[in-house]
Amino acid sequence: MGRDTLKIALSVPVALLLSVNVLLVLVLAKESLPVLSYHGLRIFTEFRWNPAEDSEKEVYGVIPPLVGSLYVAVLAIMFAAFFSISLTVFIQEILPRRARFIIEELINIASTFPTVLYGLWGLTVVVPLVRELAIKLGYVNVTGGSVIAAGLVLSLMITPYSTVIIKSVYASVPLSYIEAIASLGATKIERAITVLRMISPAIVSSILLGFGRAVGETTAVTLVIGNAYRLPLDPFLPASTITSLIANHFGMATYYKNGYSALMFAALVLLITSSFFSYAGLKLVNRSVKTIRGEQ
Amino acid sequence: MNLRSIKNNIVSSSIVLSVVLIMLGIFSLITAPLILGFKVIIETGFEFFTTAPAAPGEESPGGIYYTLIGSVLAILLAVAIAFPIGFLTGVYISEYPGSKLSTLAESASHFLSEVPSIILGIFIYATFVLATKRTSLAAGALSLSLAILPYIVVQVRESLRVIPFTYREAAYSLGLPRWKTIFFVLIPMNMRGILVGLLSAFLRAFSETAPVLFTAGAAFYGFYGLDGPSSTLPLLVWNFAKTPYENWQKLAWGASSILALVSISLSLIIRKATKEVRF
Repeated sequence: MGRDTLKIALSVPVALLLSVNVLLVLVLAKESLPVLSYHGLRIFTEFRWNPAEDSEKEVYGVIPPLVGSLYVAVLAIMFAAFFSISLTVFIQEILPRRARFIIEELINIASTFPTVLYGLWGLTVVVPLVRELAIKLGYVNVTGGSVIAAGLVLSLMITPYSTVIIKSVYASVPLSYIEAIASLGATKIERAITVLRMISPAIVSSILLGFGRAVGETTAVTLVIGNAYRLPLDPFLPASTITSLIANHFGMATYYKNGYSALMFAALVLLITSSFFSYAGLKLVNRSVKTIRGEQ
Repeated sequence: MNLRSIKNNIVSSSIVLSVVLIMLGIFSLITAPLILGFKVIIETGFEFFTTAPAAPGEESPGGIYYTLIGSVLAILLAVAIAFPIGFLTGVYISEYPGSKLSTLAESASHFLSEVPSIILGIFIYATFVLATKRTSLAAGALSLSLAILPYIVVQVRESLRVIPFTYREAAYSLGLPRWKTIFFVLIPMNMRGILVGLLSAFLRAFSETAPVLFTAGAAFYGFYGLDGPSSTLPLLVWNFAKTPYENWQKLAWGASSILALVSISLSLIIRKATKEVRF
């Protein structure tokens, strides 16, 4: 077998991988055509999701769940950014070297933990806490399943990932910089703040990557968000995301004329949103790693 | 105390506070399914592994027999589909870096890893399930294989990339052709890395829920072959945790302890194996 034979033989699985990608996008686009041709751009202006047997009465709007997805993801990354920065500083500056491995091991386990267990944990721990808080704030008849509960559960899910990214960039800052900061008489915290400023592009990119993950998460979110189709403004009330909309409606969608197609379109919108943020995050990761290494 | 040390103290105590909060979260996340789940399994006894779920509202939660079979078969099938494709793609990317197809393959694999997993599920639904007209174990395995494929590609590519170039030169100097160099020298050298990739693929396939939501079906009470409806462990947890029946919730906790136990041990093994690779 010559060199080219090998290359040709190996191209077959590569071509298969490429065609799966192309097919995925094409299928989503093709399946969303019916609802677009039937409803047109009304799918962006309607604030109802109303599958009906009479296809005249069918109404679908993707904006409220899209806003829900973005809202939950923004909350999640805000909490996750705070948590992962604290964890990084704690592990790198405060914790003695010997004790690091316990926390790192726990973070590692959490990062591969099944998402449905995050959902179950959210259902038993976070949702009741949110309900008590909401009742104290004067809400009546709340279950606790809400935007904020979903944001909290997701933040716990993202924190391990972003901690790993931020920590590795934090540790890659050249020792000469650390020595320079120390020589000015900086305390541990002042040193950490200076280093964090240096690696801020990496922090932003880890947040963007986490955003892509948060927007696409299904099982955990659907279990704790409360699943109410509405424009989510109040974080203590139930809402829905595109993923929870799909999880709740997809099983029945084929009974309606355009229900299936509307969900496919929602999935396409979700795919575009999440890949945009992941792509931006990845670009920034590469650039920030280069900047820090280039300064050596 | 001057302003500087006050500021220092405030920042460090808020850091410690948030670390305590998040570690409490992670700790309870990991231990809750273990403790609550093992309690259920001990109460139910060995029946938990040999029977189907009980009727709602009964005393006993029943068991996860058919789901366990479905889960194991779906994972094996998913890895059997994804591993050859991912492995060979990984070899291609590391062997022909910079070529057009390899750049394309790399972005394709990255794109696939970022696709929300529920979309992988409904993609298989739109193609495979609609074509075969039924949800099936095979359809579930197919959507799981899409979810794990990109991770296998990355792991194989990295395992080959870390081998120093001198080993390749040594193999070439003996007159070995390229394919023999790859398959008989380089891959055996980092077999550990490849096996780690295989294990991570198993772990991911084992714990994913969203891809199988609409493809595997929800057959918790029987086994209907590869082309019949089936179920997996995460699917059982998802389905039964949402119900209002106490015994079904118990069943979900019991199943979640198995999920947690396997996930924890596999991720510990994977981490240990990755640490020790040196050339």
